[in-house]
Amino acid sequence: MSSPIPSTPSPLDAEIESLKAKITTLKSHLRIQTSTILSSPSVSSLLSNPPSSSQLKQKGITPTILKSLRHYASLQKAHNQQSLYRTCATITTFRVQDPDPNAVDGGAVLGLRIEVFARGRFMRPYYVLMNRACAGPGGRKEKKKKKKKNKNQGKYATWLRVHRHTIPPCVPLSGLAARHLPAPPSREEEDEGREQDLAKFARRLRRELVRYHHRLATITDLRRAILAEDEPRTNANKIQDVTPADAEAKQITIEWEDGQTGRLVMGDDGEILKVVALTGSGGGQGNGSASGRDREVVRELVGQAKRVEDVVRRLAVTGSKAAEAAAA
Amino acid sequence: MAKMLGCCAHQHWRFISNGNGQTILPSLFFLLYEITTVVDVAHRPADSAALLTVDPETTPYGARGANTVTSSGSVVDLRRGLDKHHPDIHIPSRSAKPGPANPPRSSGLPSIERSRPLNFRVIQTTKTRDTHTNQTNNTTARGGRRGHQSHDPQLDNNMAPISIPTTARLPSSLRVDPSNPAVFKILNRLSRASLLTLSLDWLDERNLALAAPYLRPPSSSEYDAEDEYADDFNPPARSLDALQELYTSLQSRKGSKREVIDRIIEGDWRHGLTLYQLAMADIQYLYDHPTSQKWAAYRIMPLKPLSTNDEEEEQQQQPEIDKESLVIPRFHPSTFLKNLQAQVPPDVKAHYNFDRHRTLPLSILRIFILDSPYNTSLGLQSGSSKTGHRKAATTTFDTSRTVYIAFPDASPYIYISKPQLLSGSAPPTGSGPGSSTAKATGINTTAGEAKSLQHLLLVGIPAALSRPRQRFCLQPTSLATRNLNELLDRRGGANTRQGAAGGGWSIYADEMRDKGKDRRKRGNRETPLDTVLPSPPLSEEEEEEGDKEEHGVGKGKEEGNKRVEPPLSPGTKKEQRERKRRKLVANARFADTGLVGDGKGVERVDIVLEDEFPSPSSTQPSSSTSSSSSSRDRDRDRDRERETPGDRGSGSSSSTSATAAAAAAGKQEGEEQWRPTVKLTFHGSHVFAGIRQLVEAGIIDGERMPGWLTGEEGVTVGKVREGRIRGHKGSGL
Repeated sequence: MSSPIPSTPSPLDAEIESLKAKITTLKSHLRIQTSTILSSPSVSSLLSNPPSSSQLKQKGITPTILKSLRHYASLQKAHNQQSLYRTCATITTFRVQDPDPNAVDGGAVLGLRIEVFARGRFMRPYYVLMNRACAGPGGRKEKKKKKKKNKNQGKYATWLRVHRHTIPPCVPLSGLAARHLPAPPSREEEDEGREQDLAKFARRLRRELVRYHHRLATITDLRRAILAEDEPRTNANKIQDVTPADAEAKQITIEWEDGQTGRLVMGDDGEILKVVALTGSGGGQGNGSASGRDREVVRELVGQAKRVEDVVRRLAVTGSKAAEAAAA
Repeated sequence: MAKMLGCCAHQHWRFISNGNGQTILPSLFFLLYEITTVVDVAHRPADSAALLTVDPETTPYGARGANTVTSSGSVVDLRRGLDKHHPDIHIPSRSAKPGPANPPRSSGLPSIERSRPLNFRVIQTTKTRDTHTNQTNNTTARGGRRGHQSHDPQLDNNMAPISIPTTARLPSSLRVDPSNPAVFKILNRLSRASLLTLSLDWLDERNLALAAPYLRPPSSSEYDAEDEYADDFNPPARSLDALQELYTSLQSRKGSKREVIDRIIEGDWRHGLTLYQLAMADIQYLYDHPTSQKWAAYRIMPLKPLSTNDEEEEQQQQPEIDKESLVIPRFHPSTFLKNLQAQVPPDVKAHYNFDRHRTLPLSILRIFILDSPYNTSLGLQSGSSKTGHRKAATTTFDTSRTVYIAFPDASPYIYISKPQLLSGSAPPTGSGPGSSTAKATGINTTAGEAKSLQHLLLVGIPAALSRPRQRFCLQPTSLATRNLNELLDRRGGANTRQGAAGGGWSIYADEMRDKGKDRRKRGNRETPLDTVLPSPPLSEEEEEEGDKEEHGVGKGKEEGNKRVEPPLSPGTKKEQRERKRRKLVANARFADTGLVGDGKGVERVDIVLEDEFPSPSSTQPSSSTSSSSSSRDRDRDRDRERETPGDRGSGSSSSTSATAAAAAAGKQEGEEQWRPTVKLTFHGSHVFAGIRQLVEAGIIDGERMPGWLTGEEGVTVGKVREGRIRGHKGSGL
C-alpha cells in the first residue's frame, strides 16, 4: 500500500490484536477438536480398554493422564447425552443451588429448561426455576415450628412454586402456574381437589412459547415476502410494512403505501381470525369521509387464505409473478 | 362589595370543606363551582336580567353552569368586539348539541355529576351583544385583579370567542399567553442547545401546524417608512425559512439561554405557545434529564369477568383478580386516549401528548391536567380571578399538574410518574391575605391531593384499558425508580427475560447481551447442538479474570524478579487470593448485574425487616437470620462510610449509604419471639452496584449475604421475613 502508516494505531498493536484474535480462534478450535475426539466411539473404547501400560509409556501417557482423560470423557459423554435429550425432548430438568443463605428448602431449586426451535435454530432456552416453598425450614432454624406445621405440610411438602424464570411477559406464565401449580390452600378445609401437575404445566408452557415464536416467525416471513417484491407494481397498492401490534404477536399492523392501515388478528396457532383495512387513514387523503372498512383491499390481501402462512405464500407467488411480468 | 363577596365565598367554602372533611379531587373542583355560583348570584340584582334569559325556575345546577358561562362568555364577547383576528367560534362538538339532549334536571343532583354540557340556548344568549353592560359589570366583578393583561388584545388574540364548560380535552393548538410565568418556567428548565433544537423542531414541517411562529404579515415591509416592528427588539421573521436559518445560526453561535428564551417568548411566538409546544418542551426536558421523573411500575392484571345474572351482587362485589387468566393485555394508544378522556372528570381538563421515546422501546404519554371546566384559553389564564377575591397570584396554570405514563412495548406493565406541580417545588406564593386565600381555596397542592390524583389515575387507566367483557386493574409491583432502563429491564416487554431472574439468576437470562460481543461467542447461546463441553460459568470467569490478573501480577513479578524488588510477601499473596475469591463470590451472587456502569441502577431501596430478634439461646451460628446479618451489614456500611469510599475507584459515585431506623415493635403474642421493626433505606446512584462493591471489598460477607441484597427480587420496597422478601415470590406471579 502506498498510503502512509496512520499514526494512531501502530502496526505492532495491530499485529498484537490479530494475534490475540488468532489465539482465541485457535483455542476454540482446540476445544471443538477435543470434544469431537473425546466423543468419538473409538476413543471411548480405547479409554475403557486401554492397551497395556508398557505401550502407553512409550507414547508418554502416564496413568494420571489416562485418569484425567477418562474423567473428561465421562463428562463429555454426559454432556452429549444431555444435549441429545435437550434436542429431542426439548423439556429437561436440572438442579440448582440457591445462593441465598435464607432460601427455602435449603436452597434446593428445580430448574426446567425449555428449548424452542424457531427460524431454523435453537433459541436460547427458557428457564423456569422452582422451589419447594412448603418444604420446611428456610435456614435450619425454625425446627420447632416445622413440627407444628408438619401435619398439613405433609401433603404439600413436595409442591412446587415458581421461584425465578426467564419467560417473557407475553407468555401467561402466572396464569399457567395458577392453573397447574396452584399454591397450597391457606386454610386446611379449603379445596382438597387441588393438584399440582408439573408435566402438564411444562407442556403447556412450552406450547405457548413455541406458538409465540412461530407467530413471530410468521410475521417475519410475511414481512420478508412483502419486502421481496420490490419491483413497483404499477396498478396495485403495495404493502409497505408489517409489524406486530401487541405483546403476544397475535395482531399485525399492516401499512399500505398510500397510507391505508389495517389489522390482522391471528389466533393462537396462526389462523386468521379477523382482517380489517381502513380507507383514508386520516392521512393526506383529503376525502373528508371518515375511515371505513375497505373490503376490497382485504380480499386482495387475504383471498381464500385461512392461515397467515397462506397469505405469505400468496404474496410470494404474486411477487414472483410480478417479477416475471416485469422481466417479460 | 367585593369584600362582602369575598366573605361570602369564604364562608361558603369553609362550610363545604368542613363538611367534606377530607377533600378529594373532584369535590375540590366542585367547590370552586360553588364559589362561582355565590359570586354570580350576588351580582345578579345588578345585571342578571341583561345577561341571562335563563328562567329562574332552572335548577341550581343549571343556573350555576349558566352563570359561569355567561360571565365568562361575556368577557369573550367583549373581546371579540376589540379583536377580529379570530372570528371563528370554537364550540366543542359535544357541547354544541342543541336542545334537549341534556335538559337540566329539576332536582338537586349529586355533586359528582356536575357540569354537563350546557344547553345551546344558553350559549346563544351569551352571544347577545349588549357588551357595554357586560363590560362594566365584568370589570367591576373582577375589578383590577386581572390587571391589564386580560384586556390586551394583542395577548389574547388567540382566545376562543366562547368558552363553555365541556368534557372535551384541551386541544393541542391552544395557545398559552407567553407572559404566563409558567411558559417561562417550562422553557427555562431547558438548556440552550435543547431550546434551539426544540425551536427547530417546532419549525419542522410536521409540527408546524401546531406550532406556527409569528411571522411578519406579507404586506408590511422593512423599507416602509413606518415599520411597525421598527422598535421591536426581536422583530418577526419574514418567512419560515428565514426563521429556520436564524435558529440554525444561533446554534452555531455562542450566547446565553436567556437570549433564546426572549426570542421565543417575545419574538417568534409572541402570540403564544401552543400546549403542544409546551408538551414538546417538557418531553425534551425529560430526555435531557432522564432521571427527573420517578416512575412506579404497575402490572396490568386481568379481572375475573363478572357474572351478569346477579347484578345486585355485582355492584357490591369488588371484581377479583383472575389469577388463572391467560389473557395478556393489549394496548392501543388512540383507543386508550379516547377511553381515558371519558374517565376524566368534566371539571378537569387534560392535554395529552404521545411521544415515542427516542432511544428506549417506550411510548410516553404526557398528561397535562388543568383545573378548569373550559377547554379554551379561558381555562388557561383565569382560574383564580373567577374564584379568588384577593390577590391570589395563582392562575390555574400554577395548579396544573403533569403526569407521565410510559407504555413499554409489548409488555403487560405500565409506568406512571409521580404527578408534578407545574410551579415546581416552590410552595404556593402569596403573603398575608393571598396565602390565606390559597389555603382556603385549596389551590396549593397538598400531598393528599397528589395522592388523590394518583388514585384517579390508578382508577382511570385500567378503566381506559378495559373493554367490554375484559376488565383490567393495575397492581403495584413495588418497584419505583428514576431509571427507565432498569424498569425496562425488570418490567419490560417481550425481549426482556430478566424480569424475574435478577441478581445471580441473570446468568439464565442473559441473551448474548454482553457476552456475544466481546467475550467468547461459545457458550452464550447454549444451544443443545453445541458439542463442546461447557465449562461452568464461574470457572470460565475465573480463567479469564485469573488470566488477566496473573498477567498483571505476573508481569509485575517477573519484572520485580528481574529488578531488585523483593518477591511478594505471603501476606499480600494471601490478600490477593482473598480479593480474587471475593470477586468470584460477588460474581456468583450478582452475575452480570449490579455493575457500576451498566446504567441500571435504582437510587433508593426501602426494606423493612420483620425477623425475630436473634436470641442468645440460639446457639447455631448458621441460624443467624438476616436481621442480624443485615444489621451487621449495616454496621459495616457505616464503617465503610467512615473510611471514605474511593479505594475501588468509582466507589464514591455509587457508595451506598444505609440508614437504619430501628423502631421497637411491641411484643407479639405468646410464644412468638420479639420482632423488632428495622427499616433499612439504601440511597445511592446505583444501590446494588454499591452493595456489590462492598462485597468485593470484603466488607459484606458475600456468601452469607441475604438474597435481597443482591437486588434479585427486583423490588425497591419490600418486607423481609425469615430472611426473604415476603409476599413477592420473586417471579412476579
